[in-house]
Amino acid sequence: MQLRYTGGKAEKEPLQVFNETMRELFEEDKRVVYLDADLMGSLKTAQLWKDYPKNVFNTGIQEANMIGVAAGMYLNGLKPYVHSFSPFASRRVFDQVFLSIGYAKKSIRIIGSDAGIMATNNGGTHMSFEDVAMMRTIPDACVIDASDPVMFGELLKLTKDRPGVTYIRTARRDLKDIYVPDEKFEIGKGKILREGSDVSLIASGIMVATCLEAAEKLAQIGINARVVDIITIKPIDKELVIDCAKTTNAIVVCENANVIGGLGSAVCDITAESCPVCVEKIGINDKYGCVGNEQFLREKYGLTVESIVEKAKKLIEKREAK
Amino acid sequence: MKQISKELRKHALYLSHKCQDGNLQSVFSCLDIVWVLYDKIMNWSPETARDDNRDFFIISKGQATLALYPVLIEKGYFTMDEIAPEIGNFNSRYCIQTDLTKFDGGIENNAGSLGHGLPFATGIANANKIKKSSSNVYVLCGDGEFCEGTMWESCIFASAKKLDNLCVIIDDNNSVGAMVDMGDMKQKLETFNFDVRVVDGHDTEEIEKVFNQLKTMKNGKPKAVIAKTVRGFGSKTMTEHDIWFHKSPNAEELELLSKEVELA
Repeated sequence: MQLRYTGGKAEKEPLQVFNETMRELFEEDKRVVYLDADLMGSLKTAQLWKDYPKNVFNTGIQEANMIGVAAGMYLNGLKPYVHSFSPFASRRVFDQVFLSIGYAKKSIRIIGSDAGIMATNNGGTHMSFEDVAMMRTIPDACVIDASDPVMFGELLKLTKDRPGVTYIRTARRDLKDIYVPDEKFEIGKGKILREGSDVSLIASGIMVATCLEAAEKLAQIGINARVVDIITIKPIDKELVIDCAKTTNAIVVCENANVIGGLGSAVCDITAESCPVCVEKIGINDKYGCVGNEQFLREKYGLTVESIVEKAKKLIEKREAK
Repeated sequence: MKQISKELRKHALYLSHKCQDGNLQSVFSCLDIVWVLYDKIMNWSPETARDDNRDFFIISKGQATLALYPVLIEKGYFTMDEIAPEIGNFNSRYCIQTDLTKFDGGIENNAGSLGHGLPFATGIANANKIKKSSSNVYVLCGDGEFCEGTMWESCIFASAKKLDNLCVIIDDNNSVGAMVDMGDMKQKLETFNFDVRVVDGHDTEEIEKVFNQLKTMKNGKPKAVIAKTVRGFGSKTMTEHDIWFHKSPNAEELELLSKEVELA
């Protein structure tokens, strides 16, 4: 497949993609509404609100109520997209999402921005590592960690009519470009971004670009890594995970979330049941967040190219020793 | 007490006995309000229960669900023969907390986790405004439930959005007194720009009059009715003994309590 990954800064920031995509959706379908719990400044959607006063609602700082309101608006024929920072869009409102949306068979899309370490200077109170695990436990939920601005925009569109809970976590800024603008995506279908037979690097979110970089480094030392963007953490592409296990016989999973209950756990669930192979999990090792910039936090929590290269090498050694 | 108030209470007692569960004190405190809404106020009938323009009744204080079934039975939406053998069974449609997932119409929301119903009702009312629908939304809340932050969040939103099609009913049976001092609820809600009325929650004529009056006030202000009620109203035993907050009657108690209700 064609990629446009260069490792450089993306042409468009996710927040710009959000604004453009919502405009497109409002024009295409009058029933689409966007609710924000007073974080329009952060997502730069004030103009969107002015331009589409019938589609955009600022509820004030009241995330839990926003979810219930969205449930009611859905019942009356609307298609809500709601936004807050990821901890407030998941942990703070989990009971509302679970019961008023999931259990009650409503349909909304929840955008949790500043996912994981991308909350950077807002620090621990704004840093969600647990959201992936929590959202995965909601029956039939769709859990997405955006790896690239194009993917983010396309999945916003793709999930417009999806029943149940759809949770899309993303960085607001500083995603790398990976996909060409007309790339197509499917729920439950991962993508092989680079072929390789020695080890698979399965990733989500900001770690996809990091894995592409790590694969380059690994190639320099003679290790051919397959790189997979899982696209949807749930429903997960089981076939692709099994194929990775069979083809490369070793998997490193990389995510910007707690290793407990995240993508790594989802992959291990599949390999343990269907094709046991050695798996290494890279993610937040059961820690709270803290203040820092992206680079500092990547190093602190081990979300680096070096850490991936190291784990991949060890994993291959372990396999050879068997 | 009017005959219908007695009948509804006897239905609730019987259902609680059948499922061996229920919060009867809370049910008895709000039964008269729910009845007046369905009987006199709302644009709702079993035939129009799925119409887009129906009025909505949302039960936010989920523990009072056994107040809803008797009313829906009297209005002909369910029959006692349908509910009584099934209520409280595993996987039953009929539970002591409403569960809409098993219904197609009639039941509008899930209840049980407090602080969910009012936001939901507010969203329905907001969408009604957008759709320019004439439908009104009535939501029954507990006074204790107003400890939940989401309740106040809803009040802010409802008043900012000028939801005069939303009527918040507070079954003020003084549950909250045991937890915290909520102060003057009327004043609080008025500060939130609600039109507030305080009524005797067991005087069906007064309740009807106030709801009818509020319905005509399309002035951009959401409505609130603080219904002064008594836990267990209609049964001397239940008003005197708080064990009935969460207790179901056995056969003997069912007979005793039904008799009390009949004589009230």
